[in-house]
Amino acid sequence: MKNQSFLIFTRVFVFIVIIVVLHYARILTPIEKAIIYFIGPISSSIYSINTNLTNSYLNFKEKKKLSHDLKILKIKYNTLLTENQELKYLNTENNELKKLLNFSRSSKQKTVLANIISKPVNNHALYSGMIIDKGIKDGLTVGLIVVDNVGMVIGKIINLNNEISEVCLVTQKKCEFAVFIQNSDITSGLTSGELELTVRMNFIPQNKLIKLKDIVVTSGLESGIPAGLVIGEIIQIIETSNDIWKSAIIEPKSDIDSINIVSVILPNQ
Amino acid sequence: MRRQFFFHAVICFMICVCQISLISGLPYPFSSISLVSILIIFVLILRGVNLALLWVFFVGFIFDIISFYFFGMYLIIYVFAFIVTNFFYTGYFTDKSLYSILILQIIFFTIVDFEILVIDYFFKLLGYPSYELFFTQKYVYNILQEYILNLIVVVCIFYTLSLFLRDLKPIFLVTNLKKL
Repeated sequence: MKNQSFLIFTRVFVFIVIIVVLHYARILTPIEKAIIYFIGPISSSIYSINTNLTNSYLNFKEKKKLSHDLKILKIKYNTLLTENQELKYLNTENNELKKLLNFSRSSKQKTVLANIISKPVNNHALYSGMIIDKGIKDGLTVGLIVVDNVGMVIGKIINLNNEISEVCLVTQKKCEFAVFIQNSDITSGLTSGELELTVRMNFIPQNKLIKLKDIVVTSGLESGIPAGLVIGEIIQIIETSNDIWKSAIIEPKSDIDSINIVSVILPNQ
Repeated sequence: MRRQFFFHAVICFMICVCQISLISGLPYPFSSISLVSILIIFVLILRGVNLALLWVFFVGFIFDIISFYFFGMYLIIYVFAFIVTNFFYTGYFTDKSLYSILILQIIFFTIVDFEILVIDYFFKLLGYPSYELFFTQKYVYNILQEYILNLIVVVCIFYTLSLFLRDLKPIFLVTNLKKL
């Protein structure tokens, strides 16, 4: 009996080795593609059902009308905020360009729409980031920024294959962005996620004046990431007199729980 | 036999899709329900080692396709956890009672978690981004919460199945003296 079990499990391990070898030799690619081809649409449909279920649960919990009104106001607020930041940025950019180089306004960004296949799960998760159903074949590359339907930053692509991509969220520690604060100084810094809930902006010089509710946007210093995309607003400022830098806690504006579709912003050609 | 294998493969595929898209999107702690792990143990107990191995292969293979770690990681994790659980099943917890199933589930979850922690640690050593798991109070509290939730699901599935199957033994043995 023991010998039989040993034989079975030896065969199992040999089988695993064969599968892994076949995968890296790209012989299994058609089967994998077929599985992803089937999983993609089913998963995105199930995911949208799931989002609807979660939303109805929330509505039920927090009184339907209030939640609805709040949601509409939030969308309106976020749209206006994005519009405002975009206009502010375009205005500054335009003025500078007009003054210095007499350039015309930059063209609008191209985007790729993608369905969310799976959300990231905390702790001993199966995946470390959000999975979307677009990959290399759709023109995506590592480092591209992912935004929601109103242009709020959700995260950026950290891994991808032909069919799917993994997106790290702004609230995840490994997700870093070069940003600046929309204040009179245009203070720049670097954000990284904190506890998968908020975002921390580091490397803010002590002499720069920042306030609560200041809006943090992408700086455009990273290649492929346009400037002026809203990450969130400052909710806490952390400064100690001995430090060279101070930091700020930012509340992200995007809400991953209420979206099914995201946009990946492609770099300008 | 072939038809049974095909049937199980389809069911397993659907369960994997549910795990990836439906359960992972639920609010915490419901997102931590590991339906695939739970069903692997039920298949082992009710349908034997061969079909359970098929489930393990399918689950590992599909998770490996979707995940961005090295290919074969989930196959190894699930097969190893399954071998250890099967060892305990054939050697110690042979009766198909609720106690045995709960203990086997705990063994399976613990080994899978432990393997993920070890792999995560090696990823960190190699300089790759990792989940950054630490044995903090919150981590232990979350683990306990997730185990309890998963075991509640096991109990629900056990009692649902025991309505249709005679293989499973109820937690309280009913002795009918009149029949004796």
